[in-house]
Amino acid sequence: MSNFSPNKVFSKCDKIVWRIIDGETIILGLEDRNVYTLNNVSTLIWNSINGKAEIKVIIDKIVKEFRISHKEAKQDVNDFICDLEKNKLIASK
Amino acid sequence: MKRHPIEILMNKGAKKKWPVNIHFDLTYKCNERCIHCYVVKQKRKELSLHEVKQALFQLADAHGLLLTLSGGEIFTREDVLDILMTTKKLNFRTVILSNGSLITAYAAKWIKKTNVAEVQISIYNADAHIHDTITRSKNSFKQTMKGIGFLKKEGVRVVLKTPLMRHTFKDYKKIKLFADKLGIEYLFGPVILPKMNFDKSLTHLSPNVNQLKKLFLDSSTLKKDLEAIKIRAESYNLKSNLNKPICDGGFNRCYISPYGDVFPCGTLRIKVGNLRDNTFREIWDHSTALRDIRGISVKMMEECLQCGLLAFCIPCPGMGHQGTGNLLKPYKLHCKIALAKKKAIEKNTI
Repeated sequence: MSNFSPNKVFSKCDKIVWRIIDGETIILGLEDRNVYTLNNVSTLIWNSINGKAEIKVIIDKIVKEFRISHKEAKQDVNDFICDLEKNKLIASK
Repeated sequence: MKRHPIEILMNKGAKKKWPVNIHFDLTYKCNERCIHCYVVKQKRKELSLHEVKQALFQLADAHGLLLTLSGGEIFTREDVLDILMTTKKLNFRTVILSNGSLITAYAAKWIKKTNVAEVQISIYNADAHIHDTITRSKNSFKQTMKGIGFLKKEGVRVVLKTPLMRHTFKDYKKIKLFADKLGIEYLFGPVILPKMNFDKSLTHLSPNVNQLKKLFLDSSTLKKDLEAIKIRAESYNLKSNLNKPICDGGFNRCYISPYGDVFPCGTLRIKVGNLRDNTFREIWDHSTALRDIRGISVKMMEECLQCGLLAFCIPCPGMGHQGTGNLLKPYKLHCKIALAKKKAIEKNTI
């Protein structure tokens, strides 16, 4: 399980474009031919990544929106952000 | 998070009628006078910056994502950099088709800044004199190379695009070497299309079957093509596929002209609406012409279904319309590509 500092802030990478279609986020790399699709929970996290919001704020949002435990939300957010970072879709500030 | 190849998005777009793939010609004006140019200008006003921006907003709203900006030469528009800023804001994956000769150091910086995914530059020969003869513009090769230099300096991805012609075909390997030397990719176009007014006087410039065969034999994708052909041959024979649409035009792709005319794709020149009269959504959802085009199924291409080249071909109503005036008829220029592919594959597998 990945564990980022709660104060860490991420930005979306420059080399991607994305659309939210029917509640699903579609992300497309500018330099490859891969498409990434996100479900509604991931979409909420994705929308919160704006170069300003700290991870702890995003976790709180998920807890509030989906009524899950803080522990569960923390794990989901950390894992998802780790995945995004690994695929170079976001970068830490 | 799931990762898929882009084809999954295209297939989903086709099913849901999302115009994912848009070809937008921003102008038909050009600073060169290429001998094979298919553009036919009309005495109508081209879309203003405001109208282009409006169109882009509507296309993004309709789920458009992959945007090709072309012309004419888009850098003859003074507002092109403003347009690129809008495509960035709207999150399009933008590809530019250009002759490169008007790309300045400043424009290249802007292209980089606005996250353009790729600039495809037309080069007709590795020899400057032959290139200039085709563009009928003195020093065009030199200017184009300057533009490429600016783009490369900024780290913009550049691809050379060469429509092959019968009389210059012998030089295609030199273009490959030239591109390799520059460290950039290249694409070849196998045919010279009829003009927009269906005038076919330029199509004789297209390479002949033997030249195309040579090109295909030399292609690194021949093995991949062979696999695709096997799958395609089986799929056309399936009864369950007979009622399926013949292509994706008007489903996941569309073409917008500089006058705001909307077409199902860049090849099928049947106008289905105009953005000055209706919004894109209104046209896309309610055009009766578009509904009819979407209704063209595999089984309606009767002549193609009985053709021995079918497995090597992707029947195209747009090509049929351009060449014969009938969407359901094959156009021999298009059939020639399939024949060359068949010959190349047969030679390769003997």
